Amino acid sequence: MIRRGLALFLLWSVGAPALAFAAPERVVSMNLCTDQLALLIAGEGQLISVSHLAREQRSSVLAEQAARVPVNHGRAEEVFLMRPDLVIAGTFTTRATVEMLRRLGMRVEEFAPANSFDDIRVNIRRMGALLGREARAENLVANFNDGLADVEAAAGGADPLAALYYTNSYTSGVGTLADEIVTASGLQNLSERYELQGTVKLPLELLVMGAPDLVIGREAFSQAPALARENYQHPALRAFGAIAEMQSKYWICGAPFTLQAATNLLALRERHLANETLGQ
Amino acid sequence: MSLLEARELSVRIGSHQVVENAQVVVNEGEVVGLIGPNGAGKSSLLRALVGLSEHKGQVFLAGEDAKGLSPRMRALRFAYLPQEREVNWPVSVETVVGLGRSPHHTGPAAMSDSDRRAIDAALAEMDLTHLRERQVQTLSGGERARTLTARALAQEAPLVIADEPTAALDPAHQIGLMETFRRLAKTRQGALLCLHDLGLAARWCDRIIVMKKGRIVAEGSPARVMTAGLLSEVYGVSAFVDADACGPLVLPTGLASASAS
Amino acid sequence: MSSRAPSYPVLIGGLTVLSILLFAASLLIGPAAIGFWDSLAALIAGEGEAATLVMREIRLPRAILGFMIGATLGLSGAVLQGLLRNPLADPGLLGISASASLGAVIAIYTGLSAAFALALPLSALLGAVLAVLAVQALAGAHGGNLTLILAGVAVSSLAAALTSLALNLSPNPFAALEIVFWMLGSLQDRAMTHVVLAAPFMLLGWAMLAGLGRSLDALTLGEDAAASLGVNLRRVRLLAVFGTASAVGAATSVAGAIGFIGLVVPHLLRPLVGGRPSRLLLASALAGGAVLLAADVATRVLAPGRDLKLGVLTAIVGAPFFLWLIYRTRRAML
Repeated sequence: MIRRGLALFLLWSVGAPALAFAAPERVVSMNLCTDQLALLIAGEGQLISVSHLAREQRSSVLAEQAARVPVNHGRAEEVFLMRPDLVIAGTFTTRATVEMLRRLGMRVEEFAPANSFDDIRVNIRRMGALLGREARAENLVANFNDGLADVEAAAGGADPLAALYYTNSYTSGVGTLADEIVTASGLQNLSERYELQGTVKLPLELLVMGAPDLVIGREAFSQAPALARENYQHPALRAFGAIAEMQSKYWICGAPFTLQAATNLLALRERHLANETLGQ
Repeated sequence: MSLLEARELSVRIGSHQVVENAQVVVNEGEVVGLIGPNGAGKSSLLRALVGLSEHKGQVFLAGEDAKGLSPRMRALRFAYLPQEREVNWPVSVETVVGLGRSPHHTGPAAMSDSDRRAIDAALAEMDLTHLRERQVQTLSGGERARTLTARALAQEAPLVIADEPTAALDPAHQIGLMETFRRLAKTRQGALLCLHDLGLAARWCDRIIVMKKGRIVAEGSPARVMTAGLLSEVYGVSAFVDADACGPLVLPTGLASASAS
Repeated sequence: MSSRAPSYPVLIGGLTVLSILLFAASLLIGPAAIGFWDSLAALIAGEGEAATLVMREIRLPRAILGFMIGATLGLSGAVLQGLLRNPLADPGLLGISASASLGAVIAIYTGLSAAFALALPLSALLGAVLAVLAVQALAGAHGGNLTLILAGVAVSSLAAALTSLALNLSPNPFAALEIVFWMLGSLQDRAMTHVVLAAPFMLLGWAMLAGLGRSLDALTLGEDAAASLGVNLRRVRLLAVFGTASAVGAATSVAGAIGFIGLVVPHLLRPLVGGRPSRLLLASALAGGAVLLAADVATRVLAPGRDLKLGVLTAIVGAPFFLWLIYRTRRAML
């Protein structure tokens, strides 16, 4: 009985993609970044589940909105039982889970993380198309472009040197969204000067030798002690003043709120330039 | 004066009384032989005498209570040669013999002339001069035993306490070793030797202590103690006992039970 | 054999020169390409603001810790081998390093060391002491090679498991990733604060171990003979256990567990010092320091920017050596 039921169900789901021109009605998102795009774009009741990370205050900008949607933990069986007509995952979501859902006949769309402002626009529009909410997506893109133009207008003039220095000594180099945010905010990225590609380690020595005007870090993800943030305590960093600890949630995902990361950097840059004028 | 005196010495290992109420004296100029069958408690008695095991009773070294002496002070009063011929690292014969000099230094001092003299003398005494550079682990069992005995001699303590020093030696080196102890006795030193070779014990010792089942059952000159009757009673062997101009001759000839019954 | 070996002063002199050269290499090699003379000027005269920071705050503490930790491991290995009369004794194989790691992990991840800095080395020291006592209790006073190694494996595995458990239970998601550091060790971005914290305990440990040479020589003949030669065995054991625990505990608390140096170094040097445990101490300390400095320089040259763990290199060299050693001593073990 159960097996026959399952078979019928599978037949039904295999047929589902053929109806894709109609907007999906039961959308499950399994990735923090797709969660947030979907929360911004989806219509009333269209999004039936987001990942549990979407409710974390420290990593999610839309934690409050996410609290009103049931969560999933990225496990194939729980997603399957939600009977979605569209599953949205990140390309970093567990491969096995995605493969399993596809084998079960689910329609799964994967989103690559945004590595540039252009990626953000592409991802917003694609989400809009998938959810049948193209107008909403275009609206978001237009707002994003306006906001970005404002940031870039405000960022003219001097461009102080900034070192991005995360937990465990990681940094963002060429080809990363963080690099674009830094540049758009009127700062030079030290890692770009060293021609570092992607998210890699920045040896403390190179940071020190680069003599940056600002060291930009991330706020602690957890208050529990770990060695990951020991690099922030290193005496060699004292010469550069306090590390500016930015709120991670604006940096993790590429989305309209990425503008907030740029705005925060702008404020930081303003303070630095003001201090410098005072010092002289 | 006695070099060593033990009063009412008892040793217990677990619930087993291995030495009971032993009185032992070794005087200056005396070679004392300790004999007895396997398990009689000879090694346990020696270990207690040198302070290696828990015991009841008192031990005096040259008149002083051994309990009040530091390990180094004890080492200056006697040299002890354990039954196990243990040498752990690939060290030279000379290095092992040189270890006998360690009680004479308190710090990491360089070797003095008297150290060198003592080492050379001990090497010569044990017929090892030609082997001094050799690694101990490349030596034969007898050569190794002689090396360890040389170590005890180089210590230059007034008393040598040795557990089966003649084991593994060929007859010439056995006799050589016993002559060495006799020479030491002439310079008012002393030796307490646990021996299995009854012939050697009878011929070279001034005095014999006989142990059986943890007790000292006889003590006195070899001629007086080592009689056929006692050997039969203690060891369960029949023995040929005689004497020549140089001293007593003892040769076990058979199992006592076989001839007695 | 002994005629071909170099004389002791020549050996010590050679190892000292080697250590100095590797110390210099550790100061001169790094991701920031600073010229030779510029490095010296920055280190000694403080010329050039950034270069001075790099030399004094980043490379100098790393080089100091590299030498001191290597020396600690070499010296501890030599002492443990002499004390236990066992060529397989080593702080890593006996589980001392792993237990020190556990102690350090408990101090750090409970927040204890943040409140009270000395809690870090002290807790690691406590872990190390417990490991030595446990191994001794398990293997017994006259335990052979096999029992000793088995006891070490048991203690090591338990400590490693508890370390992983403690890190996995931490609410901080980064903690679990740090298991690698505690098991394999690294000197990446160690600061003067770490030197200040660990060096006194390492020096204290060295002081306790340095005087044991004569006693360890006597122990060549076994415990009974050593005792009769005036060695106070209880004192020697106490000094060896607490000296090793203090030095290895402090070393592990700032750099994680680094294996095999204490095993390999004394073994390679033994024929060069005529097998004498006393002469092995200083030689093993110098050579251990040199080996760890070399390994640390290698991590920077082989995989710059990847934070290759030190224990990976020492194990790649040390583990085959260990196998060879087992192969050679297997008759004695069984």
